[in-house]
Amino acid sequence: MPLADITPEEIRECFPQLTEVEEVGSGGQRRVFRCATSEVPAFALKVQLIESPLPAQSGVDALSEGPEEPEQDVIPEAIARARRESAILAKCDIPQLAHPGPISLTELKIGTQRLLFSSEEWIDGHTLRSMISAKVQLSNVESLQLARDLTSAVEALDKMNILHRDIKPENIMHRKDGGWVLIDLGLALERGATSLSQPGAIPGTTPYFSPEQTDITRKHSIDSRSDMFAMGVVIYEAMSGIHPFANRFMTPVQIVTAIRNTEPRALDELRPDCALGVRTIVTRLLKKRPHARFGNPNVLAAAITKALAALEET
Amino acid sequence: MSVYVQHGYGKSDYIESTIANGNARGVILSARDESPQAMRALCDKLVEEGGRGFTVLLDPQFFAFVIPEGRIRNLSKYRYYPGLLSRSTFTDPADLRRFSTAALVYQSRLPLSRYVSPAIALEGFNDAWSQVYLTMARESIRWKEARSDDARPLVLSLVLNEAALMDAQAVDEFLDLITPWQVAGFYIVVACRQSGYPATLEATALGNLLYLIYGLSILNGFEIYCGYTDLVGILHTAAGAKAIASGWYGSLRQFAITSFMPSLGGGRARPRLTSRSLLNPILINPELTSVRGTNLYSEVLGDSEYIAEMLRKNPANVEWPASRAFLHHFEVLSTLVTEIESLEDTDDRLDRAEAMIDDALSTYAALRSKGVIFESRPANLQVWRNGLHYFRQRMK
Repeated sequence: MPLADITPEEIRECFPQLTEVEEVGSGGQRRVFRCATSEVPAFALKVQLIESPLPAQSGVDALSEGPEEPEQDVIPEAIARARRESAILAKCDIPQLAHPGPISLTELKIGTQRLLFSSEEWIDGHTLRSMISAKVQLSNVESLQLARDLTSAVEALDKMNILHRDIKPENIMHRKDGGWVLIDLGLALERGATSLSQPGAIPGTTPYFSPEQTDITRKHSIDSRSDMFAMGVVIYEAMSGIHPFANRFMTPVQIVTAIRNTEPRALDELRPDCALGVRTIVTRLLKKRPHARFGNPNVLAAAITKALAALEET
Repeated sequence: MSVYVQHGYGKSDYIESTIANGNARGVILSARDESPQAMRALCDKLVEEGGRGFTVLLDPQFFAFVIPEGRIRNLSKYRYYPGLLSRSTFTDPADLRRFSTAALVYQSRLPLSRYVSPAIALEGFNDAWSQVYLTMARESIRWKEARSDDARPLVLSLVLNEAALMDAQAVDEFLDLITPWQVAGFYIVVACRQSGYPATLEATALGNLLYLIYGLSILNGFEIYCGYTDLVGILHTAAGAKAIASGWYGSLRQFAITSFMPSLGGGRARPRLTSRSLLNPILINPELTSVRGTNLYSEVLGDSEYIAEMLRKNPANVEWPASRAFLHHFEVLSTLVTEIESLEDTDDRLDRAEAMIDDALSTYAALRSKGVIFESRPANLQVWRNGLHYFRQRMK
């Protein structure tokens, strides 16, 4: 699906309460605008194209604001995902996950496009991807702080029985005033709930798949330990600047094979100053079998706290 | 030191004696070997005599229900025990819930340290019955979760056939499945394919068992209790087991489903002495008597007041009743396990266990060079060594 074709002016027409609209980029299939109202100085408005062109017989402007719910089997996957994301954000009140914005989930028809609008807290900062691209390598303490904040986010989700399933540098923001935020819950899944993915499809981003995510027969048994594997990949990459399994010349199949079968180079080979505590945690997060990782986010959090304390002592 | 007494038939005063001499830190009671009335009294007595920190567990031995004409002794007197059923009639979830709950409700009335869930025996982790096992385990967890005011933790039984441990991938998948469970631990019993005493698992099965113990205990923080364990328990302890349990008969030191089957008879066990340096129980006659003619006699005999007379006399002429043989065996086992447990790091523990095996193999070799012939060959030590190496590869 292409990106939505919409201008800031059109957005102002749709939402007259907006006092500012500025396009800032795109994430995944969504265009992102920085907006403001008289009450909220900044928030992110995300616009996703659901259907284009719209069937000719459709003639309504607002498609889902009415009281009637469409039948579940005809709700487009994108709408269902957005609803799920909004519901999760509304329940999580921790700084490591973005808070909902003032515009609730809205579907609108603009021209021939059917668009989905959602909003969330504006995070002033950079994505981890942009930092890695700029050759920024996190220190031991910074890596553990990243691990700690991601663990808090995963733990909050785990308490609601939810998996993120798409932890990657693009979905991790570093606030200018410190702290890390895990964003984009578009692929989040409640364990045991019906997957919104097409049959046979594996949701997520290939280089950040856990080994069990790559096995379609195990898709019903993945849990927060799968998110932990992706955390391991992210922290490894943030420290070394190198992905533990993938490079830009590899095909998705080669990457999956490497995730399943290859042991990454020891982190301290790439970063000789890597602390033992960091190395131990990352090595364990990257174990091929879930049982060999940390049992749950609480256990991981305890290990991170211990490693941070050890660094402070030295 | 975490060696428990594996209770069974013919208990005499063995348990009390091991408590009195300070070698036992707990007991695993066998339901089939006491009537419900006697079990109540025995629990009360052991809790009192064991004192603070002494662990009392009850193995409900539920798995025996599939054995036709099984030697179930008192099991049929327990209300939770279903009687003889075929496995094919044992799939209704309502039945599984009822049986799981009944065994735990029974235990709730006894002064036990932990609940031990009822379970079926698993031939393999992927066989049709593994789903029945998982359902019963989940029902036990559900029952316990509903009793939030009950501080007594739940331990899940895991009764395995050795064959189940031959498939490393199946063990890994099983670990992936059970490690998120919210329970205190697991009570693991493995039925050995070999018969006779002392028997050993195949090296691959032993290595996978050690990995199972390690994966559950060291990696995921569960308490692991290994039932029906003998001197190989030094490896279980090194891999992370919280406690191993051993008893007075060979059938209480290694588990076999056949011990629940109709008896085929059998002769009286020949007297043995457990040698710390050989890591084996050796026959008093002719093995120990042959060793007496060498300069390794005192090393093989070890240092214990139970064998003081043997140091002075020909062991063939020393009275060696089963009770003394058991107390000595238990003392040796406790000493070995304590030595392993004194080390904190898993690698250090495994190194120590490996060194014990190597020392024992060297002693056997030295004795062989002096003409001593062992009827019970030390082949089990080489299997332990191979199993340990296989496990250490799996750990990486």
